[in-house]
This record gives sequence, structure tokens and C-alpha cells, in this order.
Amino acid sequence: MLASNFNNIQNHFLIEELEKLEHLDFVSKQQFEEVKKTTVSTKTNSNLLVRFAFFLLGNFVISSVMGVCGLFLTMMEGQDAFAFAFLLAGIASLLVAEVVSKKNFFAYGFDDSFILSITLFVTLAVGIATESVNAILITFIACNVFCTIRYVHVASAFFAVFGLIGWIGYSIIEDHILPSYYLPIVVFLIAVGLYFLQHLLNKNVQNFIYGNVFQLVKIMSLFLAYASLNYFVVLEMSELLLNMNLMSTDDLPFSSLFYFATFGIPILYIFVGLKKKDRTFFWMGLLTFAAGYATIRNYYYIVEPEIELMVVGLLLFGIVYFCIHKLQNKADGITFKEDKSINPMAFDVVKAILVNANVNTDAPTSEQSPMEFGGGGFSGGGSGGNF
Amino acid sequence: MFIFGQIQFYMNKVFDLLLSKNFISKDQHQAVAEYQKLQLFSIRNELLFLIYISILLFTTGVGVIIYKNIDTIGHTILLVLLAIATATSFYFCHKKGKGFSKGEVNFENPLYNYLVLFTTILLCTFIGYFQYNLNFQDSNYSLATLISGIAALAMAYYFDNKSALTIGITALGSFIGLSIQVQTLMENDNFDDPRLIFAGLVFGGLLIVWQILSEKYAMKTHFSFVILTFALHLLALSCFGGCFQYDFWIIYLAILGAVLYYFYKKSIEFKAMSWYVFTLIYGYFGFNFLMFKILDALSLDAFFEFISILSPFYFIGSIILFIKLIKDFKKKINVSQ
Repeated sequence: MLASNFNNIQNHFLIEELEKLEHLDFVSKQQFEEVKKTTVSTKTNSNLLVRFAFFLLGNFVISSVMGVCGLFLTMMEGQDAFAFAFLLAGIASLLVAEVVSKKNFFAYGFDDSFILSITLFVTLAVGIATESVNAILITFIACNVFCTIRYVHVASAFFAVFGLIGWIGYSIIEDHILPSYYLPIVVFLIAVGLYFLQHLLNKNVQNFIYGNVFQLVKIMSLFLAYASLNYFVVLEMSELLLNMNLMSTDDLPFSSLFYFATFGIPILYIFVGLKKKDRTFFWMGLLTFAAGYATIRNYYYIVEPEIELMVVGLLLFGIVYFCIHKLQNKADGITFKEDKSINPMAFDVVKAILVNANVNTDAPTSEQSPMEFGGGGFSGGGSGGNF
Repeated sequence: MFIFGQIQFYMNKVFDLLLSKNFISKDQHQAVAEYQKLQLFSIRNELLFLIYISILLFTTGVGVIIYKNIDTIGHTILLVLLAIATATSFYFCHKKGKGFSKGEVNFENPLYNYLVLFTTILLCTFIGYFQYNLNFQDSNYSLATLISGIAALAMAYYFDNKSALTIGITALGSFIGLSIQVQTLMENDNFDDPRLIFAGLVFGGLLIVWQILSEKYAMKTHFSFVILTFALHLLALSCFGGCFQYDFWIIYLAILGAVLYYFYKKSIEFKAMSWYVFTLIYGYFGFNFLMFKILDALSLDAFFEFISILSPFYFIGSIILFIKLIKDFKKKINVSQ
């Protein structure tokens, strides 16, 4: 099943777990370094920036090879020849991906570009040969599932779920296998199904190396379950895809369900997150809650945006301050104590970027707008009323 | 509710796996299992982040209201209100602060860091507004920016606040005409004016000098990372701006080379992977630019096909080179530990 050594990948993820324990001071630094040195593991870039840079380089290699091949293949004619050429490119990518995996490169960056191009080229070949959307989407999904399982590749899992939703949408909207207003319900059911699938598979510790894949599928299924029933998404999509011109919102089938889900699901997520101590649920709850608020804002204009910004800011501050006050001295369960296994650097970076982007200290230089004032103006462009 | 996440249960299995591979000892396994039973779930980062967002929302709202009602409320009242708000926030910061220290100081309650940020933003608003209101329209507006920058830096150094430092550096940058916000850097419309490119180079250089001086006098050395990150990107982007715009591209490339060499050294010293990677990326761009210029100058049209056949090997070669460089970096970090 796996292209590279199972043990090496497992060791790689176990060392990551060990590092978390090291941050929590259960394991000494020497012990961690010792294990890291003596254990055979994969060659991996855990720094996303480095991985992305290598991904770009891999893409340069592929495109330049394509360019060279193109120089020789100018005499090629006909659709089938093109399809065949792409199939060859897909097989070549597969071979390179196999070799790279055998060399113990795992999530290094350039292996990603070869793994992704397997799907790309094979799908292109099938598309040119058959010209059938269903065939294209099925090949796309199948290739991505294959890559996910064989190379433990997270990005392929993302595209597989993406393709699945696309295929379902196409079947319902174009092929009419179901009345089109069932689409949100069907997507919701698929999201729930995906959630349980990853949940069941995740229980087996043998699947430990697929942890990141499961995490991604979990996030996507939570997102899809919300998006499929969000009032705004359903309404806009109905107009866009199904050509249902809805003048009044009540025309929408199941509209009360969508009203309820827009806020019901986020609250359920936050509740589950806190109850089960599940950070993914908690975060998705916060994000979808913000999305729900934005949805309501889109349909009901209550107060001036600036008043709203102030009120929401104050309210949020009050709620969070209250929570911190309550949790400050709690030592078990949900706490305000620092969790050292989580890296707060990510938050720091986001904060730095937010400050840099939102606090505008530019002096107005033009004389045409005397109403502006110098320094400390608020751009406000970056922050809409999303919260 | 059984269906939702059984994280504890799952993690215990992972720890069993760690034990079976002898990565942790039996005692450690026991200790971890005990710790798991506490079911700790820290929402500290989330709560602090939400506080942060609430402050940004609130200040944005205030800013918009002031902007919209500037003729009706009356400048003096607004100014007084702003001054009172700033002074009150400052008073609380000062009361809870531990005073100035050359090293790292933290508030007992992390919330006060956010109050410092709030005060800084208010202070900058006040300064800018004050200047506008006292009808210095004819005078140079950028004076307010300079004072804002200095005030923000003073806040940053006194209360040890990195967000204020970011504001201060950005404001000083705008004083010399540079817009070093993320959005404008993305759009890259900053560097089409030779004066701006020169200003960028000088400002970047000053940032480096600033960092060296703070290192020398052991003054808030943990700020170095922020300062040098600004310097690296500003210098490199200014150089690229120069390369693409003007005839003196070779001078800019030489400056780029020197800057990148400096940051290559610094990234190893600071063990900063992100600097190292950006040094490599900028260096690679610069090298390719040089190659392109040379090929262009030689006008090897006849060899065009030959060059395109070589290009895959060039890219494969660069991948191998980069793998080596990254390995090298990790080795050097480990040695210096």
C-alpha cells in the first residue's frame, strides 16, 4: 500500500509527538535529542515555507521538462495523441514519485509537486480522450484517493473531498439524479458521512500515520456541514447554480431549517469542542459563528457599521474578560493556563500581521481631502464587520 | 455524545506506541497517562486572540465615527476626549507596569499587553489629530508621523511590547515615504521611484545599525528578531525594485548580495529558519536575474533550443543544491547549540 517505509513515517510522527511531550517537560531535552538522532525517520521539511519553496522548484522541473518534450513533439497531431502524451506524463510523474518516496523523502516539498501532477496529467488524459465530465471527476477522485493512501499525502485528500463534492453537485444539477433543492441536504449528509468515516478509521492506531489526513477531512467535513446549510450559501447557490429566482426568502424549500442551522451548528460545534476538549470543533465553532453573524448582517441592517464595530468590540471584550476572570485559577479541565505543547508563535505572527495591516500611520499627503487627519488614521479596510 | 472525538482514548494509544518503541520509559508513560486524566484544555491563546480582535474592532469603530463626525462634534471636544482616554489607559499601563528594564519584562496579567497596544494606537491618533487640529496644514504632515513613530517606540521600549514596536517601525517608515504595510508590499507599487528605493535601502541599513547598537548595549535584545525581519525584507525588495527599474542593476545586485550574505550569517546566529529560507529565495531570484541579463547581453539566439533543453537539469541541480543547503543549515544550528 505504501510507497515508502511504514516504520520511517511512523517514527517521524512519533518524534513529533515526543517533541510535544518535551515541551510539557515529561521528556528531557537530552532524551528527545537522543531519540531523534538514533531513530531512522523520513527526510521531511516541517517548515511550511521551505516545503512550499521546494514545491515551486519541483513545479519548475516539471514545466521545463514539459517544455523540452514539447519541442520534440511538435509533429504530434490529433486528440488521441495528446491524450496519450498526457498519460505518459502521468506515468512519468508516478515513476518519479515512487523513486522519491523510496529515497525516503516524505512531505519534503518537491515530492508534493510530482504526486499532485500524477492526478493532474491522468485526469487531463482521461478528459481529452473521453470528453465526459463524469469520467473526469471520477478519475480525479480515484487518483487523489490513490495518492492519499499510497503517499500519505494530505493535499491529495483535500482535492479528493473537493472532487467528491463537485461530482455530487454536477450529478444533481446537470444530470438531475435528484430534485435540485435536495442538494444542500445531500452535501450535509456526505459531510456527516465523511466525518464518521475518518472517525472510525482514526480509532485504529495502525492508521496513526494518516493522522494529518484525518484531521484535514475532519476540518473539511465540519466546514461542509456548516456551509451546506448556511442560509447565505444556500440562497446564493440556488440563484447561481439552480437558476431559482427567489424574490422572497420564504420560497426556499426547507428555509426554516437553514435559518436554524446558521446559528445552531456553530453553537453545537463550540459546545462539543468544550465538552469533548476538541480544539478542531472549538475553532470551527468560532469561525462558523463569525460566518453566521456575517450572514445575518448581510440580510438585516440593524445599526450603522461603526456603531456596530464598537458594540461588538465591547461585547466581545466583556465576554472574553469574564471568561478569563472565571478561568484564571482553574487547574483542571478547561483552563486559562498555558498549554506548552501548543506553539503560540503562530498566534504571534497573525497578530503582527494584523497590526501591520490594520493600524495605519500614514500621513495624508494630498491637499484635496482636508477632512483627513494625519497619523493614526484607521484604514478599516482589512476588518469588515465579520465578528 | 459518544460519537464525537475520543481524543483522550486515542492519545493513550499513541503513548502506548511511544512506549513500545522505547521512546519513553515506563515511568514517563505513567506520568503522561496521569496528566491525560486531568483532561486539561487550555483556551488561553484563543481568548487572548479574541481580546486582540475586540480591541481592533473597537478602535476601528471609534476611528470611523471620528472621521465621519469631524465637523459636528467639534475638534476641541474630541481632542479632549481622546486625551483623557489616552491618559487613562496610559495611567493603568504605568500603574501595572514594572517600569523600564533593559531585559524582557512581562506584565503579571497578559491582558495589560493589549492595553499597551490600545494606548499606543490612541496615542498615535491623538498626535495626528492634534497636528491637524492646530491647523498646521501648511506645515509638513509627516512630522506627526515621525512623532507617532517615536511615541510608539517609546511605548514599545518602556512596556516591552512587540506590537507597539511594529507600529513604531511602520510609522518611521512612512515618515520617509515608505509604505511598509503587508498589503502594499504585496502589490509591490512601492518601489517605482528611485528616491523611495534609496530611502528603503537607507532605512533598512539604519534598522541593521539599530539592531547592532541594541545588541551592543544589551538593550531589549529580544526585539532583534522583529527589527531584522523588517530590515531583511525591506532591503531585499528595494534591491529588486532597483534591479527591475534602472540601468544600475548591477549595483543593486551587488548590494543585494552583501545584504543576503549578512542575513545568511545572522540566520545561523539566530537559528532563524525563516530568514534563511528567504535569503535563499531572494538569492535564487537574484542569481536567475543575473543569468538572464548575461544571456540577454550575449544574445545567444542560436542556442535558444540548447538552453531550453538544459533547463530541466538546471532546476534539478538547484533542487539538489537547496537540499544540501538546508541540511547544512540544520547541521550548523546543531553545532552552535
